[in-house]
Amino acid sequence: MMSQTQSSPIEGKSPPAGLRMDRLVIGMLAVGLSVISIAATVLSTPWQIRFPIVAVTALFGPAIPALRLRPELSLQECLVYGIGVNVALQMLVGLALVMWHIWIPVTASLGLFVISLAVGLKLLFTAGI
Amino acid sequence: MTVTSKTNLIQNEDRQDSHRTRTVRSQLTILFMLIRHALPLAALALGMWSLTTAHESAIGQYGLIQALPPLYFISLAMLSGSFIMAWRSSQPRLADFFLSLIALVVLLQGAPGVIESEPRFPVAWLHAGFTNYVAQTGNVLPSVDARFSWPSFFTGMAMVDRAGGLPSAILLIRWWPVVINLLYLPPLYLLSGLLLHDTKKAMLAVWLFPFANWVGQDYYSPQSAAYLLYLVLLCVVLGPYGSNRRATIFRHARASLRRLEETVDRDWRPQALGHALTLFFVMLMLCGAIDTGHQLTPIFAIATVAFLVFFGRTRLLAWPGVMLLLAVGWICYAAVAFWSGHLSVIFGGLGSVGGNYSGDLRLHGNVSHSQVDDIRLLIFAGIWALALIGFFLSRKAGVNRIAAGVIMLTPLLTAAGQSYGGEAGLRAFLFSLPGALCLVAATLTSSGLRLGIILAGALTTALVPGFLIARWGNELSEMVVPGEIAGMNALYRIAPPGSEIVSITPQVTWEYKDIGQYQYDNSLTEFAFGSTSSITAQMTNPRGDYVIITASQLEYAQEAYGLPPSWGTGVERSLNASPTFRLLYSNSTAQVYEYTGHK
Repeated sequence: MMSQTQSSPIEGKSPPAGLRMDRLVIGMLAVGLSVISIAATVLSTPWQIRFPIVAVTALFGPAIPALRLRPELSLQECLVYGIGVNVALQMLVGLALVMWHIWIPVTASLGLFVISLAVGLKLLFTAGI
Repeated sequence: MTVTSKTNLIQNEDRQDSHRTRTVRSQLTILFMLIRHALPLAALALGMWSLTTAHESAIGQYGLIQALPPLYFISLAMLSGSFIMAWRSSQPRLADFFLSLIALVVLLQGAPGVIESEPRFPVAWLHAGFTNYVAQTGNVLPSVDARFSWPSFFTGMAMVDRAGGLPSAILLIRWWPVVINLLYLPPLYLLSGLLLHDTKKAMLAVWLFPFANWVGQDYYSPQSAAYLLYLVLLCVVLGPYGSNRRATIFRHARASLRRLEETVDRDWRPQALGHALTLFFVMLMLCGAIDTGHQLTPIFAIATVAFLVFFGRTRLLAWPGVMLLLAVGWICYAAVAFWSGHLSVIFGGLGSVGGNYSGDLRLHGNVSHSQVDDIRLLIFAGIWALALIGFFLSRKAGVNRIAAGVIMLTPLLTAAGQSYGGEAGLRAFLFSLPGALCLVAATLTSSGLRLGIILAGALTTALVPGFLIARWGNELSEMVVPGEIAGMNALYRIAPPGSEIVSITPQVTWEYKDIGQYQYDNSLTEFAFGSTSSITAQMTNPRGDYVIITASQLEYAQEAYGLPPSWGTGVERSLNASPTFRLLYSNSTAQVYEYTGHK
């Protein structure tokens, strides 16, 4: 464990109040980013607006809110594992589409945004909204 | 006035004085806090502004550092000061620290993106071409390039590009190193905390990473993403599944069965089924993406996790086996196009550790290139020496030095079992950095905070010019100039599909579009190309043969192989004089020739 005398702990379980706040913030971010990304994709906005939003949503993606549903993981673990899983998810979903010869990247991305939206909503409900 | 009222008056004045003092103090505190937060932002603004005043033409034999204005160095000094302030306080100021760190990464990695007119590094353009091909067709071409046998990076990026409506992945190249290095920071910080068990030491280890990462594998490439996944995987392996057992060999030799059972019992932490499944899913996703995304990273990952198991640093006893099965399964299933008929290439480097390091073309070349290499080796040796000292000094400091040592040393062992040649030396250093920098942080802080601040400041001061030369020292050949792209675009307009394009050295920016429509030849026998007859010998494609010569190619020949500056002009002169070659296109940095011998 971290040296308590000199430094603050680097990890540890969030207290329930902290966990609730984390869930609220992450849930709202997941819902907000997903809705904006879905809207930007469906409306075919210019790439200068659409790409940054889609990239950030893909990075925040379903994994960070999904991992925050687990109370055992600290916020830091959720963020780090979540970024890794989201990057891996993009790579593997893209690979699956290529290998199965069903190249529907926009539909697949929309699917991931919808999953993010659902997980974000679930997180908000868990936080008590 | 009575005594009582006098006393009340004095008390009131005292109260007002004390209130005034408190107000002034709180105002000063707020002011100081604002300055603390503003310092990294001001340094970032100053640094970026100074970069906009730099001239691309000033880039010289020692690379980008010759073009950097003095204000850029002042901004780096301001960031270092900001880091020291955040680090030295009794309670580490993480917000200030991360602000400084983010600004540092942007300034160090973003400098070429601001100064240079085209995004740098030819291989990044090639990878962008692969991504565009997948995005447009939904297919890969494993027979065209081995990298298509590990395509998940390209497929993932193609999916995001299409969803985001990006016209070309080339638009990502310029700022990719900044973004990917920023993404490395959270897992590095978590991992450093797991190894060092101290926030301040972890801060120092992460602070040193951007300076020490001169290896240059963070351009737009599969390995840059795979490295991120590798760092996250280590966080899982050493975090929820971390352990503190004895090494396997000692357990079996010395401990009785009872003691072994006690160790295992003590180590056992019950997990809820959902939690265990979540972590299993996380690791499976990470390993799946690493195994399908890059050839070399799985080897480093499997070896490191296996050694962590061996030394009792993780409870995931079976996981190296699972990782191995996944990696081998992918190679057998999807990378057949790569390994069939190339077994000698794959296993040819087995055991040739010396060759894999000393045979590197990067260690030869002209004087300035050799000096750049010397600085790279100096950083390598310095960090490793400090890390080894830290390994011995941190014995009783509560540092997980065995795990740090394993992460640092295992990549070197993997160099023995691959066929990447000298490239492996670079990769080994990169993969050793998370462990090595933790041990360096342990060394610097072993004699107390005050001396630690001085040592950290001194090391940072030494690493600033060291990084700038080691990382951007070969910029003359690694940068991409607009004339070369214009030349290559002209060639794509002229050359019919199916024809062959030949480069006289490997450093050439091509294949960023129309993948699979042309044959490319930049084989390493290129220096036989010094004569027209040897170039003619390569011209065997009946659909047409074209030669492209660019300034970067000629610069590379001087830098990497030590050829004289006249070599390139000699080749050009002989092609111009030859009756079998016709100059089709020319600008100040690129010439395109057509072979007319078939006609």
